[in-house]
Amino acid sequence: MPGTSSMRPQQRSQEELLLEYVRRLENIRRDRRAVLLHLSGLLPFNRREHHLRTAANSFEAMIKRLMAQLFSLGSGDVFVVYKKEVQGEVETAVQKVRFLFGDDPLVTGDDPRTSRLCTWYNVDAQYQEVVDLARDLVAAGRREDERQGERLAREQVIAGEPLTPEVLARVEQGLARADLSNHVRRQYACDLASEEAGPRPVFSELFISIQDLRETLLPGVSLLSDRWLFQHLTETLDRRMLSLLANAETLHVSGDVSFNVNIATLLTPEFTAFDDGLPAKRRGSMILELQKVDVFADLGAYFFAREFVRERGYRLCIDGLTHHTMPLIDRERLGADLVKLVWHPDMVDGGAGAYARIKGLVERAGPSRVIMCRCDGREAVDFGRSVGISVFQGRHVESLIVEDSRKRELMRLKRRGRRT
Amino acid sequence: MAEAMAPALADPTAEEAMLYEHARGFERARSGAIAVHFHLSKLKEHNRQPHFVRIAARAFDTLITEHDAALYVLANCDLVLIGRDVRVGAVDPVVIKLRALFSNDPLTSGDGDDPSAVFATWYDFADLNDYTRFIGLTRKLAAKAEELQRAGSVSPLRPEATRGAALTPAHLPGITERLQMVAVGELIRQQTAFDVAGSKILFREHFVAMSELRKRIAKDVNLFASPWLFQYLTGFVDKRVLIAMAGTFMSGIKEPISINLNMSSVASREFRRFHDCVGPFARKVVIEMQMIDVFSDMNGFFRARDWLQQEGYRVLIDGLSPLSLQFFDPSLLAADFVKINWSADLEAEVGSQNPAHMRETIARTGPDKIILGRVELEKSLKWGLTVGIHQFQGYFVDRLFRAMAEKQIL
Repeated sequence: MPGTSSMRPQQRSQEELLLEYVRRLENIRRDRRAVLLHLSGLLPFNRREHHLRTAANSFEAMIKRLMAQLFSLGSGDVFVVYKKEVQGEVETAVQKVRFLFGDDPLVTGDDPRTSRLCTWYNVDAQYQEVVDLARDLVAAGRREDERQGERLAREQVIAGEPLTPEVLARVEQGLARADLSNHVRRQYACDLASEEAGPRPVFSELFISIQDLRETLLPGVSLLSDRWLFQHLTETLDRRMLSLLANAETLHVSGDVSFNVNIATLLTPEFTAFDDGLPAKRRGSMILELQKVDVFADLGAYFFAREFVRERGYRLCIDGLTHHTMPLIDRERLGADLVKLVWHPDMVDGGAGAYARIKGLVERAGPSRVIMCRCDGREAVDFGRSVGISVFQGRHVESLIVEDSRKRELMRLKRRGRRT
Repeated sequence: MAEAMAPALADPTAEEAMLYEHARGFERARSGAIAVHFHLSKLKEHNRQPHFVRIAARAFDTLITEHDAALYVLANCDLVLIGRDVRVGAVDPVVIKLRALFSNDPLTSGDGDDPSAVFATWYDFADLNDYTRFIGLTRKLAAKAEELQRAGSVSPLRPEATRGAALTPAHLPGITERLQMVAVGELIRQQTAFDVAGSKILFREHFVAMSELRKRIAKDVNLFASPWLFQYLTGFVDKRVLIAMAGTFMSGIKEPISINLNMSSVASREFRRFHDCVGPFARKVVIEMQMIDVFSDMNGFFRARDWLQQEGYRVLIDGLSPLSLQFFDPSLLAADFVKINWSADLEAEVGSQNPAHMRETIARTGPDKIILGRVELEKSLKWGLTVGIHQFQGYFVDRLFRAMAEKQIL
């Protein structure tokens, strides 16, 4: 499970700043235009902080030249006020954003003229409308702040409260009814073998954000405080994930996907029903991620489940190995297709001895079978490459994807510019 | 990881009765009809779990929809396929699938010499002999199933400990509360780990008799239904044991002892008190930890191990099987002892695998670090000796130990 981080926007006063700015425009509003980008309408896993930041960055050059002013609203929406001269540039920037979220239903098949992605304003002609909008945004922002304030206060009262069996029983009951589709996150594992070609997605991992879940169901309770109770909770999450995946269209999932699952879950009627409902082709595109503790807790059950799911066409990945635990796991003998090695700066700090050891481990497991995960920075990828790994996952990979799509879009625009 | 499941059918005798009727229906037109009896009831207990059998039965889905055939899942876990014009070539892939699913069971690795280890029996109804035998078999099965139902037995194949409602988080508060009231000290049993080569006692393991504890704190609950919740529960048992054992050291101890602990219990207040009581005797205390615990938090284990060893304790990794040894190298855990549990389920496995691998593992880990546990029969001990093990624990060892003591060999 990739590390999850809180992504709640903190720019509380942006709405107020916007209102103030719009008011100041009253007498100088000629030739002013504005655009509101409805990024809050994106699918949850596209509404990631760095995605939103990248979207905002598209306007940076104009802002620096004082041709535009940008407000990142608490909802995730972006409001840009600009001078008429840069209309073309703004349109290009919006186009870039459109490309960034190319596979999001908010954008796909979107006609720029009747766009759901953005609303255009002529500040001069629609001045009162813009003022009203800013005022509404301030009011909405305040309500949201109050809710957050209450939430924070509540969290502080019971901060770090450990997960108890009573609480677990309650959570599991609540989960049986909860709609978790908003808590599903997606993270890509990409082949980074060639710098020029850019990141090539191999598959994407779908997971339920534990952090989100905690905030929704049990603010203040540390779900991870007891590993055994948490492990039991994951069995309930498995079942919810299966029911979400059974309706893949609700998640807008395409390409090969992986998800975490307990071996016990693979042997339940719920999994059988899930399997029955999948088109045969889809099974081949699914990777089941198992925890090593689960595999070794009952090897007999693992072997039985392995035969069953591999015969059905699924692939298996053993998740969460570290450079300490990887020597203990013989991927080939266990008959797993893939293993995930968790990046840790220790790997580099260990010097030549550690390097040779890790390189040997990767060789033994088969370099094409190892995915380095939780890569937070470039260092992880550089190290991974040096020991023969080519597929990576983590925050750094996510930002490479965003960067790459920007680069491609720029090139596309340049080519188009040349042609016209 | 057995999830307690309701029996597949409300009336366990229905399936057998229907099979009998179905078979009788072929009496007038036997040609082209066959039956195949899959003896899953002969699988080792571990593989005979209801969810395994349910998944195995699914292997027949396509065969049944494409042929005039039916599958019966019997109360004893056996599967019977019966039908007309079913090509042998269509059944064979299913047999292969089933064998693959249970490839870790001795039943599927039998070479056919042993008549009790037959995986499947075929009946060709065109042959009157075969047909008569099959009718006799189904009649017998139906009668047996009915008898079992009358006796009110849930399933003759389920051991007592796994009966009762599956353990859920909601059970835990009551169970842990009752645990506080039980005098755990009374339930502590001892078993000796013995070094055959040196004819000396290695240590006496002190453990809680779980079946007796279960009677007192969770009579109607199957504590083993969830390995994770069971592990949670053992954390509470640890604390009670630590309190009960702390007194042992008042007058000093002669022979080394071992106790079972969760990694997390090493950091508990109860352990600190225990540690204070142990004083200079730490060298005589072996701390046993479960492999599942170690695997769940390897870094936590390394820290706990280092601290314990530094304080003089010896650390033992419990819960390995000959099967798990094929998949990881215990020497990498750098523990003082590794306990491999003998299990009858794995007997055939051990026989069929290359013993050289096992010998190599044992040599690499160090024979002085390896203990073969759950030695209940002479053959387990013999097997251990052939692969280079000389430290043993189990009922058979207890008996051997007593006999030797009587003859004053010790």
